Amino acid sequence: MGKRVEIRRLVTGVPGFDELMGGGVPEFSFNLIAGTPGSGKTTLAHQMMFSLANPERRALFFTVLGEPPLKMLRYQQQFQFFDFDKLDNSIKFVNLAADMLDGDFDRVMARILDEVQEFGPSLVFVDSFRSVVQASHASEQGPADLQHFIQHLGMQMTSWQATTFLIGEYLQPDAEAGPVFTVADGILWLSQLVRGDSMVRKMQVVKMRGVSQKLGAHTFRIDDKGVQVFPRAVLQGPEVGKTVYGATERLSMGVPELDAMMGGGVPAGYSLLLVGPSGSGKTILATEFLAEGVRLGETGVIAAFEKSPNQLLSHKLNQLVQDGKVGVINTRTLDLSIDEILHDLVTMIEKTNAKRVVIDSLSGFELALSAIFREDFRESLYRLVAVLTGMGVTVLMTAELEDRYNMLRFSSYGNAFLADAIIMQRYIELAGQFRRVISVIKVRGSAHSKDVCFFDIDDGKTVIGERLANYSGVLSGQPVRGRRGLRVKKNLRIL
Amino acid sequence: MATDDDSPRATIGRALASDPNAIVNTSIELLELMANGLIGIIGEQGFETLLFRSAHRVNLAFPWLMFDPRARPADPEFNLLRSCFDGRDLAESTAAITLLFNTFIDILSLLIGEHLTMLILHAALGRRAGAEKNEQGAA
Repeated sequence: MGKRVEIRRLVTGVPGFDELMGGGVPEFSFNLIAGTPGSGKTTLAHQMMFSLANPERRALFFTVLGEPPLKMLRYQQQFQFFDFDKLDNSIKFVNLAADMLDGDFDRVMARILDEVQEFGPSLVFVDSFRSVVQASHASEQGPADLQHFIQHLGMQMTSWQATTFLIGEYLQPDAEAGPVFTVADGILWLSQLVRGDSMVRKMQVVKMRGVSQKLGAHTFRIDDKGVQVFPRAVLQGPEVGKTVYGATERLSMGVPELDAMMGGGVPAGYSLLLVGPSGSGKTILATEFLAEGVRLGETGVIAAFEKSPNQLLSHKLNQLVQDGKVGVINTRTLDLSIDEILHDLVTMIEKTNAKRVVIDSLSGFELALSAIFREDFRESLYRLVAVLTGMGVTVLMTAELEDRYNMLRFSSYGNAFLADAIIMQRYIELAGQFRRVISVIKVRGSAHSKDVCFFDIDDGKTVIGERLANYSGVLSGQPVRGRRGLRVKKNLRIL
Repeated sequence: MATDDDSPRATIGRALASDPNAIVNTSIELLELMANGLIGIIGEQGFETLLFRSAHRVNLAFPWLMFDPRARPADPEFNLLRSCFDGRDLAESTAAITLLFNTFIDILSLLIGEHLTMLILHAALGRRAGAEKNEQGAA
């Protein structure tokens, strides 16, 4: 027999929430769900309650308001988790408004205990607990009585073997809520952040006794299914995000000449940044990368942020998608969090056992994020790439590069350091024509070609041409043939 | 005639029709049971507001039916409502009571949905049936 008491976890089934809580809500804990008005406190409480409650684990939901319970029932039943069949047998709503009017804590406590004794719940919710706190101000009873009330309630609920949730509206942790914050075993803080026209919901486990919770603020979304939390990807231990540089396994890009330039293809588990100006053929090369994987029996995933499905899905890619060989994460929503996207990516990668992932493009990706997340895009992208490569998938990210020809850049965001390999596409002007050139800038831990080669797009395929051996000044965008170049240089010298 | 109409209105109609000659008593009893169930969920204030709104609308058709459930002291046995029916003939009382319940049920259904309203109604009627069974057993 173990010396330590085992704290059982109540698995709420709220997507992502249990992961955040280190496996679920500790049984018999006394918790506070706090946050700003409209931040989703009641919805989260209801979702947990409807998920957890059954005839053997009944739930009591106390409301401390007048008419609003009608509205609460009206709106909460719109969520899919609202199960009418659980009302009465497993869930009972009780209104405490009348008991709370004069702020008599003893009366409120007596009523709560009567109801608890009669119904025998394993889960108790009090919404909104701030009403209790405010009632203490309206009455002659002060903070000391409130603290006593809360301690008494917490103790009673624990001895009744109930897991308790107090729900309260707080703009920020304030003095009046002090006693609650002190006594609570767990504190969940819900908030809404608005930047520009977009709004993001955040959830933070401020405190959770006896649980190894996920630190930091995590984004969550509320839709007709209820709350879905996207725990912030945290890099843990050396095995996550660890890439074996110079890995022996190489993945073909689907363009043999390019594979040769890379020293035999892109090493498995690498992040590859494909940069180039608009129309240079980045998406086409990315499609060839996925198609080659499919040809070899590997599934892939593409996250399309820039183009609508019709624009993105060339006949070739469309067929791969139709065949179930490539999964598409397509979103043009502009209020995403990087963790939401990562969640979708990881889910699809696991579901399809994908080996190749394409993010097309980083520019669209950044745009799809809520303005709040754009500020720390680099840090977020670092986590995303580390998690994906840590899963062993090879990630190809496209990035549009506005070529200025007077400076050499590999990314608009200074994100090139994130990539294990970089391929650059550019336009040059030659004899009055735009020509495409391609070069491999870096393949970490591997030898690779230093050539700059012509390339073209022919029938949806990347065709690598001759290297620009006899040209100089290629990076200026206006190369000249070698001898003429020398003459130019001579002239320049003369001049 | 047997009916399988289990809408809230039909359910209430059947309950009120169980003893047509004692419709006032039956309706007050039913109202008390519904009040017990509803106050537990939406609070006394919520219930009283709903009932006041219903009474106000019925009052347009039956001006003699005038009572304010929000008035204090509280009137949990609905004595004020009962007194409205003093001296009224059965047909008029039946019409007013039916309209009061239908209005109340309609507002409640509109706010919380027919399904939840039916759950509350069935719970109230179930308690009524249980009480009647106990009375018969005791007799």
